[in-house]
Amino acid sequence: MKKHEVAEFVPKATGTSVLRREDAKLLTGRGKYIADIQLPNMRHVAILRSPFAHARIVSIDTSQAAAIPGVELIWTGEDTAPLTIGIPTRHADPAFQATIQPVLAQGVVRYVGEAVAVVVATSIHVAEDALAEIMVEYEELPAIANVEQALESSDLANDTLSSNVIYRSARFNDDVDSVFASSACTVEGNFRCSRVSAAPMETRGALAQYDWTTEKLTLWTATQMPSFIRTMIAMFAGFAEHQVEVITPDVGGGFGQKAHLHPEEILVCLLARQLGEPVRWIEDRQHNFLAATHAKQQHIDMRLAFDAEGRFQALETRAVTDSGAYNNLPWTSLVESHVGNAVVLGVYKVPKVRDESVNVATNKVAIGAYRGVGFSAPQLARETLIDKAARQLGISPFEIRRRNVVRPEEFPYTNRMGMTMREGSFLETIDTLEKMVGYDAFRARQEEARARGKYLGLGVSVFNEVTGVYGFGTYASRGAVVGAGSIGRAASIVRERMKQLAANLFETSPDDIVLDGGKVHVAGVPAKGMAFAEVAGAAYFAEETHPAGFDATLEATANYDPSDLVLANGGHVAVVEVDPETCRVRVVDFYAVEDCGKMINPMIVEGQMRGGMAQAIGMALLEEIVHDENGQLLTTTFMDYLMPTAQDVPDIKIEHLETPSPLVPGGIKGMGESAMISAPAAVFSAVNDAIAHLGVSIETAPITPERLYQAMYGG
Amino acid sequence: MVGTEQKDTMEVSATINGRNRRFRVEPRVHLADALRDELGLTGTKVGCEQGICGSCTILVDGTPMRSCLMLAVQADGREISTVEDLVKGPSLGVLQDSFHRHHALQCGFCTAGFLNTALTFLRRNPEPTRDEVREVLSGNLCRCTGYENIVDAIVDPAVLEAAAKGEL
Repeated sequence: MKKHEVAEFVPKATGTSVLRREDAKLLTGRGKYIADIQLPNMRHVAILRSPFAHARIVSIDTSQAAAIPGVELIWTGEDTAPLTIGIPTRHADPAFQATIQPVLAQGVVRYVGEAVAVVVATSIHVAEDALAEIMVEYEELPAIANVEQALESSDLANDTLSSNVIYRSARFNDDVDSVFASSACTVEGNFRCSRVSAAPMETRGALAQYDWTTEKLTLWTATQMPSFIRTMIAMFAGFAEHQVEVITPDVGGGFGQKAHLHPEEILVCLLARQLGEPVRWIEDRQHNFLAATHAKQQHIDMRLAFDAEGRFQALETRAVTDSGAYNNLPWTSLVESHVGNAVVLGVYKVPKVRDESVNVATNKVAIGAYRGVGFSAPQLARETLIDKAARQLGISPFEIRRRNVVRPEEFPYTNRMGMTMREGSFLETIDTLEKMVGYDAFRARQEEARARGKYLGLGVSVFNEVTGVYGFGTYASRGAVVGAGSIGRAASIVRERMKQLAANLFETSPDDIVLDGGKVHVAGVPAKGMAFAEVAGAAYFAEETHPAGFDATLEATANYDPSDLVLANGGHVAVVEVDPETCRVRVVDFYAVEDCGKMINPMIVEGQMRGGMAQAIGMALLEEIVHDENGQLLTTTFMDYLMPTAQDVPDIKIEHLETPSPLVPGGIKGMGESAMISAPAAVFSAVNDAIAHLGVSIETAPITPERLYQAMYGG
Repeated sequence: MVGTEQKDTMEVSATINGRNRRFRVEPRVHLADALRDELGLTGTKVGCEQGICGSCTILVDGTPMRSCLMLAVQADGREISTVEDLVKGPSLGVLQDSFHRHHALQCGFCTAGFLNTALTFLRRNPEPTRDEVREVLSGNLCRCTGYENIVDAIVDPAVLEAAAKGEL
């Protein structure tokens, strides 16, 4: 069997909303998250973090801190340098400027929050007391605080790099200028998506224990990728892989933030080996804002050209990612605009493309993965511009999309950028959304509301999503695809063995044996059968019943790799109400269509959709990581960083389509990121629709009341 | 905690989940940490330590409080109830079962806080509208669910019936 092939898959319970087995423990306070794990003699870690965005470390004096009773060890970069290189990154293209992030700063700090020293003590309170006693002398260096500075200044954010441009890619360079010059309708915008944080309710944490007598390192960590972390710890903390076990406890949300190797994970392993006692690091919320990866910050200058009927003629995009001072592992900073540009055409047919992606280094924490990764920002730009073109041409936002999406008779369709779509329900998605919204009536409602002094707006966003990629954890919406595939393959191995044994017992061929309803029997003759457990019992205990060469191992592990990209699709519509006096935006209606192939559990699918759509409202209207002109991080609490609350998210209307994947057993596709790929665009575009009658637009997310006021009234 | 070199500690005597408990703690330790570290009641979660996310919400003399904003020594003489106390088992309570049926939790980190907030609200107002529920819940952050299923769970008929009968 090739690694993408799976034997016959007969789903029985798929499509039903089976309730979750883990709920009982989580509802009664019995979940065990990283901060709940206590080991005897456990020590506690506190990390001293840089208050400057860019500075040379002149000296560090830890003597007073070390004298505090209960402090057992203090390390600085000098102590960790011989033990670990830190976190290196690389890319196949030699033009990519690789970075190495040390676990503790080596003579220079490159972002506010970078780790400078680590204290291990008998209690977290003592460890934090010690932080205040560590004397660090800094010499400030010029800070590259934003994309403009990165591109214009001769100062380097990271002096190990030869310039502030980590990477530039320009994959397509069609002659779009003449197209734009002659098109009936062109729309453009300079979009600014702000930095955000995935901000899971549980911050990061890790607990390491090393036993020198067994040479075994155990690392508990709140991660989305335990196998990956295990390999990385072995490589960068200096253990043999077979010595390392990584255990994921209950995790309080990740959304991509916990899909990286953290320097702190390496650090606790080194500390545990040094001290011979368990060492635990639990991050607080302020440090999570300072030191966990940020996301989404792209500057996208985009323009679209359409003919008079609203058909795409060209798309041009230049996207710059504010990458931070280091690349994260494993995605690197390319996880934003470089990745986003690769799918910028979405489900549309666009004949000519010019694209450019630039990653610039800044004195900020690394940009990293967050649900929807680099797709969210270009989707926001493109769908907002499509709605704008629709208004200009007097076509509905649904109709303009109908005229441009890949149609069923065109599958398989390879777009201008080389992405092949084999199936998808793009037209059906648009029609379904239009009906859910009741669009015919909407424009009348909008006009009537305007007369009452309320500005309603509607935004549409249609997407497809790559799911099921090869890899090592719960990310990229791959769980269902890879889970179904690998479970299917492992099950078919055991199934074949059961059939062989039953065939021998009933003196027939394995092809005549059926496994059904807990029984193993001859096809068409249920009486000639045994209970599953009886056949298993024969395998383990009755060797005389085994055929020649029989493998009685009723257990199998298998891997699975889909042979090609598996693409889910769907769409969103948001209806917002803008108060012209306060410039506050309320999402009054929110609609979603999801086509993830054959759904395994609709309840789970909808839970992912609703949660992601709340995050989308956050990205479009509320959430912003703010740095000042010196690179100082100003948003380190939930008072400054506004998270969507129950009052910010309306009831959401959902419809499902099911276009099975021919590549995956059961026709299953993945999902999970769809809402963050596409819904921010719907909300953002809806606000633009609400204020379009004033002849203005807004191009920066989040749309705060202050920004909206400036867009609407100037000054 | 292992051989902690503690500064001066104070004794706290409180009724915690129906039992009289006595423990010593430094005055600076907040109640969430004391519940988790001194008493092993790790069901109360610390999400921000800044009093905003609501994950640490417990009941103090029947009132929902953010335990990260209370010092442990302030619990002296009080009645404290945490998520571990809400259900005796072996089956879930009405509200918990409703959360289960409505898929009102995913990672579970915020759930204890929501349960305590919802319980006290329903005891005061057994016939809430969805908007009233959303308003009361606006002090509890959830990143996973988008809140709608939580609202559904709270206005579930079985829950409202139990609330009306004073059985919550």
